Amino acid sequence: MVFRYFNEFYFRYKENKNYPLNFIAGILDEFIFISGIILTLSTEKKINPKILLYLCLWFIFRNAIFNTVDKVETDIRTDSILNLFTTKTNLSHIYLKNH
Amino acid sequence: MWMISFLQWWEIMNEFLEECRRNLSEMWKYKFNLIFANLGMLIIFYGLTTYIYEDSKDILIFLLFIWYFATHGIMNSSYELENEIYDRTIVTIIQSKVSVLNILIKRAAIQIIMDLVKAIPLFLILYYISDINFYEFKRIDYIIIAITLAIINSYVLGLLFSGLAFIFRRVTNVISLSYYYILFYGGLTVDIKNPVLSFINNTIFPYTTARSLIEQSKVGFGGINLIVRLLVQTAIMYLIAYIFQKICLRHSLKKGSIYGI
Repeated sequence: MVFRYFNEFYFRYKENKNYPLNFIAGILDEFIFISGIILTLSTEKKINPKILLYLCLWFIFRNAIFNTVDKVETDIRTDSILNLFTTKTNLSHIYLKNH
Repeated sequence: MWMISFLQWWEIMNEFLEECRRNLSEMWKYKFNLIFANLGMLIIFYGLTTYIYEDSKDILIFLLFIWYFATHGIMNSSYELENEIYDRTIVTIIQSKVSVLNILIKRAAIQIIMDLVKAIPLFLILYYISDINFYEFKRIDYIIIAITLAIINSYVLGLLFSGLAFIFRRVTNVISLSYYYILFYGGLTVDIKNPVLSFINNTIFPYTTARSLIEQSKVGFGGINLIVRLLVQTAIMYLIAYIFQKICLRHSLKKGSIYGI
């Protein structure tokens, strides 16, 4: 199971390597958004260090919610969800592993 | 002759309205998605106007209105062109009498109407829940001009960036970086002191000038030079976009990469 997990991780890494510009743009986009919020808060009001922690939590939760919904949506659109139904694994396990 | 041109104009308008109707019905098909996407915007805008910039929320609502259109403006042309290249329908456009730029401008005009349909209810709700009043504004015409020119300028910038799609094919991910850049660093919300960013904001983007013009509308005079500046900036950008698109298209045709062979 651990091996399969790392195998999947390695495939994802290779896939991202095929689209370097896309990958960098994605990271930069998040960076601009979060730094923009910090800049906005620090210029108007005194920045509270707790805000950084809240931003990190928000970032993780947002991705957690969005990624799963996005994955399910893609699977439905591409009909690959039908394959998932025929496997023995529970759907929630598949999507959790996908995280 | 006059009648022919009138008939042609009538035909163009009919085609335009037909396309608008088609887009509206398509938009309505995904109403659930649309409502929630705009609800997300409303939450961000409400947070900015009520908790962060409560002192200048009357100006901010207009700037957010510009941003709402600007994001689509910068992306629209590249997205359309990318799809045309991906589906290989670009060949039909190139071989037709109508130029690529002409088609992109028409689609941009439709996109503005679609955005208007979405933006009006969104900003009306924001206006009521944020308790904003516009009594301090003396020149409404300045505000309308600032918004209109900033939106047109954004679409012109979109045309400029879309030229890159001829060369790199996929550019929307890189262009989408400008979304939050414009909101936080483009001079819409935060006053940027960094000289490099200020230079970029003053020469490429119209938002700092639009902000100054909206601020001037509270004073009531002295906005003419800002209007002229926005007009000149738009005209120059359009010229650059026109030349750049031609160069990129020619380069792509010479290389033979546009047809995907």
